[in-house]
Amino acid sequence: MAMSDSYGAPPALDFDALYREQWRPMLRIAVGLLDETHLAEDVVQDAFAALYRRAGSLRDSGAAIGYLRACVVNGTRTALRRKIMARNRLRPADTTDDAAADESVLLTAEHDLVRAALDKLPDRQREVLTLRFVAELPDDEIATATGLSEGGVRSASSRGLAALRTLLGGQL
Amino acid sequence: MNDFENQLKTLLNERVDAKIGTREAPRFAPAGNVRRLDSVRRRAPWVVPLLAAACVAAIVGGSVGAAHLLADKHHGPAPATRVPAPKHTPTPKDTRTFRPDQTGPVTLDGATLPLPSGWVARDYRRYEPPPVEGQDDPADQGWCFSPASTQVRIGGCPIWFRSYHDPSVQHGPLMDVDNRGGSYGDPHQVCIPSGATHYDLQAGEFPFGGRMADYRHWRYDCKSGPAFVAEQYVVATRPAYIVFSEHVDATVHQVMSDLAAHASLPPSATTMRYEDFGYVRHIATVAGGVRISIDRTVRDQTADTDHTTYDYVVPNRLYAATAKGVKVGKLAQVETDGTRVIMFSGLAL
Repeated sequence: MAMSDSYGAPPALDFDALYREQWRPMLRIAVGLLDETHLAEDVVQDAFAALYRRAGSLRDSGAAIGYLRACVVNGTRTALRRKIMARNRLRPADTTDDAAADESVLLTAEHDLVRAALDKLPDRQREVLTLRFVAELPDDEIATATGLSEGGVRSASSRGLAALRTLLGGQL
Repeated sequence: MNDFENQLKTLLNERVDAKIGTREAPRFAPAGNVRRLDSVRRRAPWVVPLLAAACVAAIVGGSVGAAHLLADKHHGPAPATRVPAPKHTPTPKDTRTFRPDQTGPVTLDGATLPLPSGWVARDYRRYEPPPVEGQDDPADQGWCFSPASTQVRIGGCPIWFRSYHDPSVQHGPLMDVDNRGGSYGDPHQVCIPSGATHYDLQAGEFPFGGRMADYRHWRYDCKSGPAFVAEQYVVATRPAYIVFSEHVDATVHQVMSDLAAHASLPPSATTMRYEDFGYVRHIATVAGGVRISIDRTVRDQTADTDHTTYDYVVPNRLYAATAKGVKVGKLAQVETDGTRVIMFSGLAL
């Protein structure tokens, strides 16, 4: 039986360097998607753990960053869904985030408005807009991170922005 | 980028920067003696299951049609300063024990599956790398179906089969019939980093072993290397099953089709699916909650020709907490434990 198998020898992946360089960019994506820093840190750590486990089966060492981003985006999807489920089971105190010390000083009602509006978007639109505005990725890299087509990225972006305009109703 | 988008970008980045503050990367020691993440201690109880799997399998988006996924050349913003060097030690020797192989028609988790001649059911964990420090190694990750002569290679399982356990009992993975793998796990490497020139998704509901299953078939034509082709059946009611392949060729497709036609699954214990997603067509207050009628749709697929609706009663307390903004015509998703709704969320579109 012919069975395709394109997995080759493990790539020479400088994991330590990658971790140093990419931890913060990945955390920014996760925080942008989750709006909870500790939960985002967990997702990012899990993404690096996944990469570490999978490094031997990566088809190309150059895939590491793209794979990490996909891990982070995917990890936030589950984290968000579990967060919603947890809200119905746990006391509010159990799900609060340990905010940065100066967060309350730095953030205004405008920030809260945008965040609340973003949270009302479907996953894909929120992800696309976050990757575009927070990670500043081009459409092709957003497509790789989200599993969408480039056309899907553009569509999600357009629809998400339109929804945000409606939801924010000129409040910005 | 117009003024509105610029303002959005500024506010989103300010919020992210304020939340992260001066945080530094924790030490990463996946195979050492150090806990791999200080925050393990502060994880909320509901986060613990996340340790079992690193990431969610990518939910395939986009409508059926051409797609272009491109190379990953971006290396992100500048690295954080004063990041402590992670401890990187070699992966320890795999000391796990595995369930014995099975051949012939196999009965796994109540399902009888006629494997082709010469094929074997192996413990799926053989195809997974050993867990790293701090990660669980779930005892049951299902089975891999492959020709007996095929050498086991990490990530190389031709067909993966597993039953899906009640998430409310075992805190297991959340079902998502639009996810490759049916729930979450490490994402599959789809045309990374070369990108894809074409993407196609086929979806439908077909019989599998005498039950109805959500069928998905993905194809990504990569710019370099072989195409990524995946296929799965998810039987979404209790007892639930997932059959998945990310190495689909003519043989694997035929084996999966034969399994769908000739397997024998136990009858549904309940009629309620573990998850559903679609447009809200009707909302009504009923005893104890709110009945939501959902017109099922494939995530991100614009075509929706079947307008059959499925009813879920969302308990009042859950509805009050999660259903803000739910309206007829908008999208919503439901998670259940097979008998009752345990998560519900409405979306803005």
